[in-house]
Amino acid sequence: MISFTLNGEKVESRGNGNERLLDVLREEFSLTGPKEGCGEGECGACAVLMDGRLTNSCITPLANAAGREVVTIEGYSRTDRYRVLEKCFAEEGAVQCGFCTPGMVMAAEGLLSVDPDPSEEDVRLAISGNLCRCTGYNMIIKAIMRASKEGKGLW
Amino acid sequence: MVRNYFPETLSEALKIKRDDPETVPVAGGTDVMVSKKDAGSYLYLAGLKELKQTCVSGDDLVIGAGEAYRELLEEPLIPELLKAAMREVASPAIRNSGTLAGNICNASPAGDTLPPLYCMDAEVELSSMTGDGQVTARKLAISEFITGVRKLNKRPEELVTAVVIPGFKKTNGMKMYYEKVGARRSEAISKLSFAGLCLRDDNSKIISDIRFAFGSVGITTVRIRDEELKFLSAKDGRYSDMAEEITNDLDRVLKPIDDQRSTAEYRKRVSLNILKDFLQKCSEGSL
Amino acid sequence: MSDENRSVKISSEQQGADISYPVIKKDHYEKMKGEAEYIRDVPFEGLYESAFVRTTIPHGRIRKINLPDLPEGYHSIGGEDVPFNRCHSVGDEQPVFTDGEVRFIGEAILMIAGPEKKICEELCSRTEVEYDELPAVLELKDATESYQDYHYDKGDPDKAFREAHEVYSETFETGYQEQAYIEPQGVVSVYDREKDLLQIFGSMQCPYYVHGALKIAFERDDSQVRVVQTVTGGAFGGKEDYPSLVSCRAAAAALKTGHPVRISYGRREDMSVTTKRHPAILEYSAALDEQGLITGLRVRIRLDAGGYPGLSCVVLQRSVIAASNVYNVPNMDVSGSIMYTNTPSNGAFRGFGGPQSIFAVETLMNHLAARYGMTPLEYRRKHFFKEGDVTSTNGRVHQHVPIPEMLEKAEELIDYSRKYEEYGKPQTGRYRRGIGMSVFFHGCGFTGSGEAGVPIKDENGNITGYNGGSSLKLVKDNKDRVEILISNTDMGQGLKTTFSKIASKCLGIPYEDVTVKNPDTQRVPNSGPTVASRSIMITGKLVERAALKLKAQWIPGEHQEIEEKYIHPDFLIPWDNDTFQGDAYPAFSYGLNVAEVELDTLTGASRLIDAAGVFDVGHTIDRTIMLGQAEGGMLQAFGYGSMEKMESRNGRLMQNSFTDYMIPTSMDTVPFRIAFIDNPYSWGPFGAKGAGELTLDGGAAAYEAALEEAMGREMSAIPATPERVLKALDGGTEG
Repeated sequence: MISFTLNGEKVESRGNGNERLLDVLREEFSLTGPKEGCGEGECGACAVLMDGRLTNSCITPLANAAGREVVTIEGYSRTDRYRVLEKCFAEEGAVQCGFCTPGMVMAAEGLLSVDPDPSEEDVRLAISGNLCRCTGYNMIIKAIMRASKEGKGLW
Repeated sequence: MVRNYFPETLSEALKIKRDDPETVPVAGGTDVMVSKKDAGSYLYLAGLKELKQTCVSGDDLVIGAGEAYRELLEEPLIPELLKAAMREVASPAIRNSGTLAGNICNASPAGDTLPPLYCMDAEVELSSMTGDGQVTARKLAISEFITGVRKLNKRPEELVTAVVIPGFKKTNGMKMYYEKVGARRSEAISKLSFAGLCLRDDNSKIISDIRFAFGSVGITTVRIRDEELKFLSAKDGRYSDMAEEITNDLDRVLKPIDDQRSTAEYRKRVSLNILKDFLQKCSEGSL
Repeated sequence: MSDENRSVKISSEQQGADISYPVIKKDHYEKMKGEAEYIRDVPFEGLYESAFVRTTIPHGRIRKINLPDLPEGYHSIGGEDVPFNRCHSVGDEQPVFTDGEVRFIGEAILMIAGPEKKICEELCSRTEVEYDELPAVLELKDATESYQDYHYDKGDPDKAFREAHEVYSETFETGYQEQAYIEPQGVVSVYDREKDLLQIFGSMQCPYYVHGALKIAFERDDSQVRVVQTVTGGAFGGKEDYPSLVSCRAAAAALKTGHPVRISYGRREDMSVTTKRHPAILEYSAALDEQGLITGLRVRIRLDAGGYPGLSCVVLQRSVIAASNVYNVPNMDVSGSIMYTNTPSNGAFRGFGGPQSIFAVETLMNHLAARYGMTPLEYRRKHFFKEGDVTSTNGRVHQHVPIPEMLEKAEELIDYSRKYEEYGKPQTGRYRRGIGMSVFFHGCGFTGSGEAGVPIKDENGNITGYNGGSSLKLVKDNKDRVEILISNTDMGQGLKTTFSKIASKCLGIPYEDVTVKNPDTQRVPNSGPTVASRSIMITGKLVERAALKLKAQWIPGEHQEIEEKYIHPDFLIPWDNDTFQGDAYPAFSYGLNVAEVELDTLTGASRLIDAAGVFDVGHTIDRTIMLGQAEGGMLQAFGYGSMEKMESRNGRLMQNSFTDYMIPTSMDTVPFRIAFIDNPYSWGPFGAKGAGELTLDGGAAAYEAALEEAMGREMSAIPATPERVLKALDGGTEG
């Protein structure tokens, strides 16, 4: 059994250490917010936070989650910070097909939690491992910039 | 059934590696998990605090094998040349998990950090446990450690425990040049890469040390000390003339290939363009 | 704060305002929270997974298949399990499971289905297939056999070339482009034995295409097949006809095993075997008068269709019709062919044959301008068509062409002409800059009379009517909430939102009281496929008309239903698909792109440093959604022109992963300057025209033009990879 904290709760997984964290989250814990877009760490659709840091769960062995704090979109969407992002993503039109969106939101949190007042370039860099084919990124970048201003004090 | 090991100390990890030498060491997992090959046994090192230290030991900088890129990028002791390469590795999420030692052990001709490490004469610390429980360590130059594409000069019971940069303060005093040529500005496996270091006295205009290394133009990183020495031997500071000769020499030495990312012709051509640019800047003191 | 409160706020702001005023998208909250259920997120009881045995040679015949012993619960499914083993697209060429002749690497020979995906994969890898190999055609340039050829003339091209002051010829090449939707292909088939109902749930653009293909392959009636779209994670044409193929396979497996069966492609599998944008070779000859103006064009376009024709003939129609883009060319001789090669079949991708032709024409215009000492813009100004002019197929430009306003806007946004002049001066140093412009159009909706159906002709050959046309239904419940029943899908482009806006605006009811659900063929009429930039202009117009009708008959608190059927515009010159004469489209949307790039002369690498887009899509239904179309489409176009390289070597696609096929990341782009020109089209809802595809038609040409200025050299091919650029810098001709 590998134990870790998942969205604020202590959990134990019966999975093997070498299983992909993504599969464990989706199958064992029924958290289907993280998506598989490539399975090789290129697209970021599977991104979660591990101890607050952006991590591609498709190339993270379950073993590496042991004793750590894992947050998926399902847990994050219960926070006040999320609600600011949700509003700003709506207003800037940052969501189209939505498949990259949970990963993008996690990337936004990964950035804002260490840099609450990022420049446009910082935001660009922070989501540079999250592929989006619909939006061309600029509307996502604007949404995150806007959230950093409207959510001042939350990060 | 897959064997999974979760050592809590380094010596425990070394003991496991001694007793089950086929076990695959896993740090960030970013390369192992991509390969999708099912090994029968894994040794997870991410939890080992002993491997998560970077310190100065005499003239050497000792970087723990468990240190992720992100941690090293925040570490003031790390030489800028190495940081320049680490910033170009994959994406933020990969830099959060992936380790410098992992990049070395992956032994890809396109490993981003390899040309800087070759330039800095980096060494790899290999540790193992003997039959009677003694921990021993040896150091190998990176150029002797990586012997081919995904090939390492390493005994089965050994683990890489640190990356050592000898005399790192000296290299910190040198001017640097780094170029990664990829197909896009993030998340690109390099088509080729180049790292260079140069020590030039601005008054006398004498260059007393120069190093340069190429990635993705051979089965391993290419660094040729003789060519560097040849450049330094330029008479009366006529480095520009020598630059041309060296470029011609390298034209014969570099043996890139065609693959899905680029062509042999392009790789060679651009490697030489960049080399020329570097040597010219060294000569002019405009690095 | 509840979702309800939020949306109420937005809608009250919208009341009375222009329809363009943005609202929160219908699917925003579920997508943000990760609650939207894509096919792989939907649980099914007793679900079987699957894997494929695929062809490994480009051309040959299957001699023998050696299957390993299958453990209990694992089944092999092949051509013998499909009553009519063909997947219907335009025709019925492609087998559901390849049984005899192999025509490309990666065709599915058989499928293994069972409880564990890993075991299915392992069983597939242990299956041996023996072949008799046949000679293969691996490159478009070597292809000699065509599936279909088109030809049309305008004016007297022979005379134009005979009397030309000069004839200039150039051959252009364009490469593959992969849709790279982030959600790979996936469907689940469930067979309900009791009702004898064959069902498909999955990621798709066109439920009725899948429905039709299943009916034909499994020899079933309408009522015995049900197709339901699940939330679709991007498509861009890549989920136009391909889902029919995977659906037929999944259905065969569901019928055979009695379990629900899922087909869920991995990224590499998806990129290796699904349809892409056609590589093309476009040969242009221009007859020129003494001023260098074009009096005639001779154009020969060849598209690489791959192993099966699929949708290729329809793609080619758009390519040949766009052969003169937005320019008046009095004399034309245009032919096109879709060529058979032993490579994976190509198909639909946003733009649908347009981007290839537009790249060629726009680059030709630049090269001709340079030859006659004009700027690209001066030269274009002498050729732009306007309202009342004759199109390439002797149709009419029926509406106002706002190119002059668009040019003015572009200057204002990005200062094009000044920068063009500045970068035209000699540049030195490692990094050089350039700026390029493209002007282009997109014919809205199906080509020809596709919207109306097949023409019915009298004995004299005159068209008297059509046999088809889309329909839709509005259903009002007794709480006065309205549901729009259509087969068009939301795959990210915001159709649920825009359609709801149209209906709510017409009905004068709140946006929240209108819903659009993912289509289920058992509930919705066939309002046509979600393709060809037709959804807003065609189905959206039906929504508008139906809503106005409902409003006129509105009885509060009562259940009411309204049906509406397509009406073909009355102003059109009838289209003849045999001669390619008449109005190919009822309306055109217009676009203008400017790209500003920086070139690294040491490496041949280039990057975007600024960009502008000006578009006429009639009247926008939602400003933010339209901006999203423009932003996304333009970046796909710049990717197409620059970094998105895919090549086939020995019949195998070399860049078949997100690691090797480069789509732009956030670091590869810059903030775009985008504007819309309002030019309402009376046959579109609230004046809207086609929008989605236009945005990717011209960016590649603009990018290459910018690069050419930075290089001081001409190029004739895309993508302009650093490898290609460096070669041109070495040996190209002065530009």
